[in-house]
Amino acid sequence: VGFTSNELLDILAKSEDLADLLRRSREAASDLVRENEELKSRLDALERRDDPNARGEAAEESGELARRRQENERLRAELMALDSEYRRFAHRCIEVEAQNEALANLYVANCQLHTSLEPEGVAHAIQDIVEGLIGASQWALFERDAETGDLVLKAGEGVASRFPTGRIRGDEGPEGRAVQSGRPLIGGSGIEDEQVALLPLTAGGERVGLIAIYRMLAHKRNGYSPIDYELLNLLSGQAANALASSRLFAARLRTVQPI
Amino acid sequence: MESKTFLVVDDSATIRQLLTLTLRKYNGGGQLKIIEATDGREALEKVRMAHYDLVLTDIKMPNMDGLEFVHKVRTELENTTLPIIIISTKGEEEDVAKGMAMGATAYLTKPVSAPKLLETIGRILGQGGQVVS
Repeated sequence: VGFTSNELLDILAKSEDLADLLRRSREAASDLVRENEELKSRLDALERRDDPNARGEAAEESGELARRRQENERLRAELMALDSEYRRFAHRCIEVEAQNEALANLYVANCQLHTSLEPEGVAHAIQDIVEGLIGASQWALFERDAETGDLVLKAGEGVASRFPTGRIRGDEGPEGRAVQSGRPLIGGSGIEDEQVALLPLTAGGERVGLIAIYRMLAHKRNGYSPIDYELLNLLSGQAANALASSRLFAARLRTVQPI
Repeated sequence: MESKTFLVVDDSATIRQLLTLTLRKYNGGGQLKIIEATDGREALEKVRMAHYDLVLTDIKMPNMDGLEFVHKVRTELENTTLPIIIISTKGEEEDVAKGMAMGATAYLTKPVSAPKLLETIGRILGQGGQVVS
């Protein structure tokens, strides 16, 4: 039709630009339509809000919401009360469990103290309780010599250097004073890491000896627990009877055997 | 419920009785047999002769101590799967390390509380045993 090849190329390029412009216009129109619909929908919502019926419904819903909020608060308070009750119950369970364990310890310790009729057997039971249940690493069991009143070392752990002669005078040191007073002494000695417990052993009104604890195992150095105190109490009462009985039995055997 | 057999090794009758009382809480006390041994030598013989699901052992014992017992179970008997818990008054870091190096599965220090012991057993035996604590 009379166009040169350069003119044709120019027309082709322009037509492509036009097509591109058309596509972008279509997209823009489509965006405008969507925006328009959104605005319409918002307008409808605003108009509905002005509707007296809609206002009633909204008021009802708001009332319901308040009621639910109130119910929610009540349930939350109830839940908190239940939670607190549950915690109290769980705490009590732990206490009962600890008491059971303490009773089991006391029961077994008591049984073992009275299992043997031999002084060595009783000393061994005392060792089990003092080391295995209380957790002492340095301790001593003294028997009181009825004639001299001296305290004679019968068993123990880690106290050889403390009592090189294996015996102390009945009125000497805190041990002797504890036996003389007949009162247990429990507490710190003023020396680091020492937790002293001196338990005079009294049976039938007679002083028969003393259990002395000086140091606890590394993992028990934060002091005596309530069950430790129970065990110490048990020891000061029952160990004395067990020791006295075993001594009487041994003496009786000695008199019977020659016959 | 699966039946289990535990071996308690300690020369102290007090500790054996106490451990037995505590272990009865394991599995609600049902289907659990507890055998006792008074030293490592007796325990080794028992492990050689029968199957145990768990062993609790002290260290300081006459004839054969707990460490030697654990070592022999792992080496002589070549039993590497038997869970062995050492319960000892020796609680220093090096004692624990020594016990674990010998082949112990866990190391607890005396006096051990019932919940702690049951929790440890439960952890070692996994879901197999319920811990009532």
